[in-house]
Amino acid sequence: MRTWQEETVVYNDLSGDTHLLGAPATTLLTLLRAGRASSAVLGAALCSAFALTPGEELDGDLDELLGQLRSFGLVDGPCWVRPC
Amino acid sequence: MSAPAPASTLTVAQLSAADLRARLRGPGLRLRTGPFVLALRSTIAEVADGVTLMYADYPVLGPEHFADFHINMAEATGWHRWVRPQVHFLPDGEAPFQPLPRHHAFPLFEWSFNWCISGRAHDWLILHAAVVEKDGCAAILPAPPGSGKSTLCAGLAHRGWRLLSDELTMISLTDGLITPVPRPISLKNASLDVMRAYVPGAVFSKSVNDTSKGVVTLMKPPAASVARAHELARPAWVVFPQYVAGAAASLSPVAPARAFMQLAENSFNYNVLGAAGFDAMTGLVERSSSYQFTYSVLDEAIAVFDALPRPAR
Repeated sequence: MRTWQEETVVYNDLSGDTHLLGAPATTLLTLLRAGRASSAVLGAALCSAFALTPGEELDGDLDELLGQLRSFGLVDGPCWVRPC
Repeated sequence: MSAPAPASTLTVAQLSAADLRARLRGPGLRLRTGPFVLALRSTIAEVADGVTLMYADYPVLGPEHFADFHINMAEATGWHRWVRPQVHFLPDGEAPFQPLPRHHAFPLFEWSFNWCISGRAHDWLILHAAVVEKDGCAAILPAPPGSGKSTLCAGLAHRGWRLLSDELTMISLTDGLITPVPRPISLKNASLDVMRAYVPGAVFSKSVNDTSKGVVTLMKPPAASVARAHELARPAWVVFPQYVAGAAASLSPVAPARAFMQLAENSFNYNVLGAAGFDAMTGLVERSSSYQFTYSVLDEAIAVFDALPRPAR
């Protein structure tokens, strides 16, 4: 994974694919590489990094970003947890 | 950044016509092109004529030398030897493609040789890009067909830049330097008239009119570029060119990550190399400044290249 000017290219050595990620997806991927994280933790990280406000819109964006990372094969299985 | 200069060797221009044809018809004419030795066999006059003209300055080796590639440009047998005669491209005795009309033989040889290198030379990350060098710094011009890449490359090669290749940029996986493979420059359609006017006295092959790419003509590479093919080059700039009729020359930066992805799309073997390709491409992007470039007038384009900011050492 290499980052230049807030954009990241990441090589997936399982699929052989290379992906271009923006800063928010990179933030999530970096956190999830360290281990499972709750959606609250992930959302808080995005809020802190990008001066966002918690709420439904952020939750929707978070779901979309995580879905993209999962479709790329960069995160696997339920690596994030939603509170009940 | 150089391998030792090769000892003085025999060149194609020094062979008699009879000797050239005997080598082509017999054990193969062994040509050194950059890091590769090609053993070329053919009984077709168009191939012999094309080699005589376009490869005049290239070193010739004896039949005992190892060859990286063995290509036979073979006349079709049977009916198509006489009726609508055809030529087969046969690398290592195989026939990967359908035959073409015989008068396409020399352009087919050039495309086929590119196919051999790009499909097999996996010690390098290979980009579909022209590459030229000046004062130790190389400018890589990745672009799909129709972008004006070869015309711009030909112009630069005749205005103070050294031609490293007009089609294959070869980046070493071990040190990130560029290995030259200077070869004839393939010009299509109206580019021939542009280059005839721009480089009076340049040597061109016979045009072939009815190829899938239109009219194709080859331009002999500068002798100095062939003589310096052993000199490696350091990448400094990646310039994505686009010819637009009437446009003023315009250079705009491309963000590194986006340049990475565009370069990967313009690579013959990035996907084959896996992590090694990713690392080589990362190195290239980190060493280079990347730009999008639009142009219409060659002199303006060359002035822009001459003014590219040199990298800090």
